[in-house]
Amino acid sequence: MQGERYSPRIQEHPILSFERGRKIKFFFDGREIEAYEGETITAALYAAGIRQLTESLKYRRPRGFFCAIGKCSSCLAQVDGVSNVKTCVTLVKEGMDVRSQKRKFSLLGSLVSAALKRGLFPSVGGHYKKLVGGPLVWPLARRAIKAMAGFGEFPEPNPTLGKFLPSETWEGDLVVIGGGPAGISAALYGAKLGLKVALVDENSRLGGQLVKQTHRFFGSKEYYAGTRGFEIGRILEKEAASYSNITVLLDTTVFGFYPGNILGAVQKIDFCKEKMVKLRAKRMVFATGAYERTLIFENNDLPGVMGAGGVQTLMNVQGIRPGKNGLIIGAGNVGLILAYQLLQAGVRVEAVIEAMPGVGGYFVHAAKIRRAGVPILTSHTILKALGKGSVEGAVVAKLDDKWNPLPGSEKELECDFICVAVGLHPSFELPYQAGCQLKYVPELGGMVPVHDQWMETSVPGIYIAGDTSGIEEASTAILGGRIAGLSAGLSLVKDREAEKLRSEFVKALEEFRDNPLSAKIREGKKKAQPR
Amino acid sequence: MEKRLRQGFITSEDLKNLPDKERLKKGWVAVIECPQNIPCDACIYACKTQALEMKTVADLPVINYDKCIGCFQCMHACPGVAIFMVRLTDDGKGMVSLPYEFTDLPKAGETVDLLNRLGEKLGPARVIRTFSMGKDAAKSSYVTVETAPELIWDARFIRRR
Ligand SMILES: Cc1cc2nc3c(=O)[nH]c(=O)nc-3n(C[C@H](O)[C@H](O)[C@H](O)COP(=O)(O)OP(=O)(O)OC[C@H]3O[C@@H](n4cnc5c(N)ncnc54)[C@H](O)[C@@H]3O)c2cc1C
Ligand code: FES
Repeated sequence: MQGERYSPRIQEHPILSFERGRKIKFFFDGREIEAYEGETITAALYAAGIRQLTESLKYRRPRGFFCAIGKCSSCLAQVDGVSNVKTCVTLVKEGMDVRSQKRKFSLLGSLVSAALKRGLFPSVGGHYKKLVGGPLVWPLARRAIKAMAGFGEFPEPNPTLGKFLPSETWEGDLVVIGGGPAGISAALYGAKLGLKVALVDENSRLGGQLVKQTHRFFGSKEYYAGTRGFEIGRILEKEAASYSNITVLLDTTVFGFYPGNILGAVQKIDFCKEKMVKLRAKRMVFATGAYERTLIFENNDLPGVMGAGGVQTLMNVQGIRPGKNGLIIGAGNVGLILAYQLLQAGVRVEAVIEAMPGVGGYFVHAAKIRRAGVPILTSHTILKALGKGSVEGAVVAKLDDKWNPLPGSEKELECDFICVAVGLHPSFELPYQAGCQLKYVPELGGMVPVHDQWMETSVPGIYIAGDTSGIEEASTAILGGRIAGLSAGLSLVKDREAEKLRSEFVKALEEFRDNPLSAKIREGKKKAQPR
Repeated sequence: MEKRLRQGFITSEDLKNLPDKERLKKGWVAVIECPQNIPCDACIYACKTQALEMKTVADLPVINYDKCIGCFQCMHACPGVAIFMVRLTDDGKGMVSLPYEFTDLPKAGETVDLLNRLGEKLGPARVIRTFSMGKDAAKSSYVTVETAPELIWDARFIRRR
């Protein structure tokens, strides 16, 4: 922990081992960069000390990665002539030509930027309204805007890329979207009832959030308590592979729901080689997990301000340290666990900042970092990130009991990256598109599809499970997934035993939530019931 | 204590029903620092002598020191890294075994700093041994240190010098 000289790539880790592929070289803006096969472009650049990948379109603010899982688009670059590639989910290859999408110098562009900065033009989004007028203006305006934004050049066509592969259709009884603990469990229990199941996940391996978790999970022995997160993922993954009636589609993102119980998905085969997959099934389980909330503070877009999940991906999946000294915003379980994981990866943690008067996560997670000397500053908030081009520090302040920063309490903290861990929001887009009724339930993390105890939504035949049905944890995600899988199956086949089993799982869930710390979840689940 | 829990630490005064000197001299015994009702029962299943009890999954574990044989299994099973092993030696020294999930494991014989639950220095301690339990993904490392007897209730982490 304290001894190792700083190097971005983690060589030694108390729990994980990183198998790196062949050493390769690629280019970033013409500069030769060393990388290992299997690394994403973002990770390899990060390891080479390059944090800025692009700049914002309007104000030219530097942009680095934030989510590291292909959701936020702050890591776009031009790769082998293709614009707007999400470099955080694209693997590096020998000789790859990566270019930042920065605008080339132009007088007009500089003038417009300067005008924008001075507020001479209409506010955010204004150019969309101002310049669209008339068939004469728009083509010219579009060209000018593209040139100013840095997208003006049409790249040389690359003959090896962009070939369309023939699309594929999968038909069966049940499609499960999302291969986290909830989705895998749903697929398993649907398959146990003899259904023909497809399990779809956008990542190259199953496990969802579990893949990044090095700590032992709580819960009941029956649901893998005491086993490390990534290991639970592996166990579930293996079990899914043992069923011949489960088809696992990896690297496959579901992008839309269409009438007739059809899902559109796209499967990534290689860089710029993708395949359309049409999925048609009688029943569907949406177990797409959650996405990270962000926080508003000055300079929160500076490269080096990252989502907690992004940091975990970089560190525990790619094996690359996010920096030397981190500041964590949010003392919920995610923030606290992340602090411990950073220490394990040999990274100092300057402090964990929490706006509430106490930690939101479990006491034991907080105790683990406190005894290692990491301060937890409760009733504190971050006012701004400091730095030019990349994070170099932060200003934090104490909050009074009305949540206002106390004047004079501001202090500067040293850090070279900032992790935002202020909570998760259920990802509800696909069920919403499928017509499921949503409800705002703050206890469950925000908007959730209304669902009953059998995990069925307001649309018959569509079920949800895991964080999509309310932010909770792995054990409950597994139970919820099993219930959803069984419900989907029981609506197609009759099975007394399975019905009994399902009631047992519902009871187990209730027992699990029968403690003071789960009071909020219980309240939320009541609110999310139909009617 | 409720207030301290929310700040992420307890003190030795918060520990109830600790084993007496006599028991401590007999050999290793577990100290369980799990003061919050979280749904977790991993330690109960790890205990081979039924020294740990819990009614429902969200109860606090209760330990019976007469049944505890100091086998370290519950310390290894605890997902919260909240169980520590303590004992007193015949010549009146204190010993603590604690989880240490980091790469810079100290060596036997090395002098390290003992830290309390807030990461504050308590004083020096001599490392007796480092060891691991479990295989592959279940593997964890532990450090046993020898120190002043009064420090066994407060020493919960070490730092290499
Ligand atoms: C830092 C951290 C620590 C945690 N610690 C604990 C703990 O100690 N104990 C505990 O019980 N729980 C813990 N959890 C919570 C637990 O990991 C989650 O609650 C659980 O993973 C939720 O499972 P899920 O299957 O609903 O979602 P996820 O695990 O998030 O899986 C969802 C999957 O769906 C995929 N997906 C989403 N949209 C699409 C799409 N359109 N097409 C294809 N695929 C898609 C995602 O990529 C992802 O792989 C922790 C979580 C975090 C982040
Ligand atoms: S999409 Fe790449 S960092 Fe978010």
